[in-house]
Amino acid sequence: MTALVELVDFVHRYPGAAPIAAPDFALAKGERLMLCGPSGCGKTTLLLALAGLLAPAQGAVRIAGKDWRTFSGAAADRRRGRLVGFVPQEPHLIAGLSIADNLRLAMYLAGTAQEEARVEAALGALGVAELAGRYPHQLSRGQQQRAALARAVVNRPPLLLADEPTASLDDGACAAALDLLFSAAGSVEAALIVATHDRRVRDRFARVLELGAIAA
Amino acid sequence: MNLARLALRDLRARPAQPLLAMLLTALAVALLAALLSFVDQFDKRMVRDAAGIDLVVGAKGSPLQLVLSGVYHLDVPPGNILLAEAEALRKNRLVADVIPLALGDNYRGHRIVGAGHAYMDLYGGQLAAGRRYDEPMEAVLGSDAAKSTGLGVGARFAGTHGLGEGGHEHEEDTYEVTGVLAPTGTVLDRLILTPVESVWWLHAGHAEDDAEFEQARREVTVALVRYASPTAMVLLPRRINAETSLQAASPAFEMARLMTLLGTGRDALAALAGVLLLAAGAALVAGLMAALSARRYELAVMRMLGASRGVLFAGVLIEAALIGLSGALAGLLLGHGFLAALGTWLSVAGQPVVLPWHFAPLEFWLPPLALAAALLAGLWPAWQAARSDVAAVLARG
Repeated sequence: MTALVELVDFVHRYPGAAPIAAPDFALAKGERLMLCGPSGCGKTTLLLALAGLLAPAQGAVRIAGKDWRTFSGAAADRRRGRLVGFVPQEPHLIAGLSIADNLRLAMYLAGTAQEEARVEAALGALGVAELAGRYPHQLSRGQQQRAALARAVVNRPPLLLADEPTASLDDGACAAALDLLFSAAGSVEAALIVATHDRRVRDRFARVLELGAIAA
Repeated sequence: MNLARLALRDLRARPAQPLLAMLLTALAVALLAALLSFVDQFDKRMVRDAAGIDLVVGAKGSPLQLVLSGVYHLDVPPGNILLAEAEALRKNRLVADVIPLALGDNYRGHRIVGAGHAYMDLYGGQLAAGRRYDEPMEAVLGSDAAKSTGLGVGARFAGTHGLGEGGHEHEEDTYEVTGVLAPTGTVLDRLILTPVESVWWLHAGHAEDDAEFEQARREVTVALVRYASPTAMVLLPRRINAETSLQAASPAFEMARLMTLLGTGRDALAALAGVLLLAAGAALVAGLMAALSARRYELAVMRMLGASRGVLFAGVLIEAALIGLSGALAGLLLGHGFLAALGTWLSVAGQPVVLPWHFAPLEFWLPPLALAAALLAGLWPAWQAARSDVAAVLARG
């Protein structure tokens, strides 16, 4: 199977801190990967590098066969919008915009056609179609999480990145959040990479990548 | 969905500080708009009212007072002069024309001016109704005077002594309105015209003997003079002032002097508007920076969703532009609303009418100026938005 995501010799350095390294890996469309490790081990750094928002000090990050380094500025941003869906730890829906407008904003920023059918499909897949006209503050936290997931997949990205999606959730809510994430990724057949320090979800992933700082 | 809509959403979500910036912009623009419109109207009116009048001749006193009273009917005249002295000017080869005016009374704040038909002709006064006066105690009303007094052809009215409201009425001697003039856009519009003999007649009535009656008959207030040649501009005022008991004042010179004096006040108001615009810029920067701080995670998420730095930069600038433009439009409305109130107040007092919706050519630069100021103020917050550290924000959760 052709690799959608490839990480090769990844090392990143922040000034005055130990370098962050990650083992090489490749991920095909539809596959799921858990990035785990303690706080500060570089999970978010790796997510940002996978999203093309951070250039590693060493190594290569390829999405759909192309290194992020070959794109610059707005071209990289447009590519990220189309290829990468992002689920933050908190829903962080844009206040003042309806749920449907939050999804339309994601389509606008990615430069994709703002088709209403896509908005309805994404919200429908996550079971929140009836909330399209509501505003974030009118939704429960669970509904907000579903809406944020719908926003992440509305552009049908081949890669979905999630940052600590189960942090501070009890066991039941943790399992439900993961089910929802898998369902969202499955709805667009996206590869899913979840960065978490939550060991409870380890069993749900066939592939797990342990991260840790290495000596300089 | 587009950036403008997103910017509007941001402004609605946190309205307090954008409103403050908008209000300050509006005040600055309102001040400048009112000032520019008023000065423009004032300048144009001054030019129109003094067209065809090269020199005002009257009693000794303040030359500015003589011009303001004799040409613009805004001040009390320094005194009267003998009609014979005014008529003698006609014989001077430097003089092309002389129009004597006799002032003294008013009706509901509108000055009653004793003058020949030549005064109406000077401003191109055309009758909208009725006929011109032929006999003493007949009157023709300017368009504004007719409108505000409600008098029409055939109506009778009694003048009030003095040039402002509040004097005693000449109840026993009433004027008959024989005509109403069409609007001319000049001082004529707010005057009531009558033969010079009407003024003499009314004031002779107060005289106690024939000598006083004769004295009153022979007096006028000012004489409006038109030069026969450019040479007269140099020679005539000097000769009149040096060789006679009269005073000669040039409307062009006196108004230029007045504008120089008023210029200081005008510059002070313009400077105040500049300070307000600076304050608006500072409020804009503070408001946008506070909003950025509150929206840092939103901006990071937008970057993850594909927003370029340029998009975030443009988004903040659009917010600044919306504040600047809405402030400018509100300011224009506010400024001209103020002029409307001023115009109503002044017309009630019988003073020159200020047209509230007269836009001076320079006013059309106010929205671009406010926009430029807002964009300039928005540059730093926009730069901050564009350079926001997505990694640091996301790492904090």
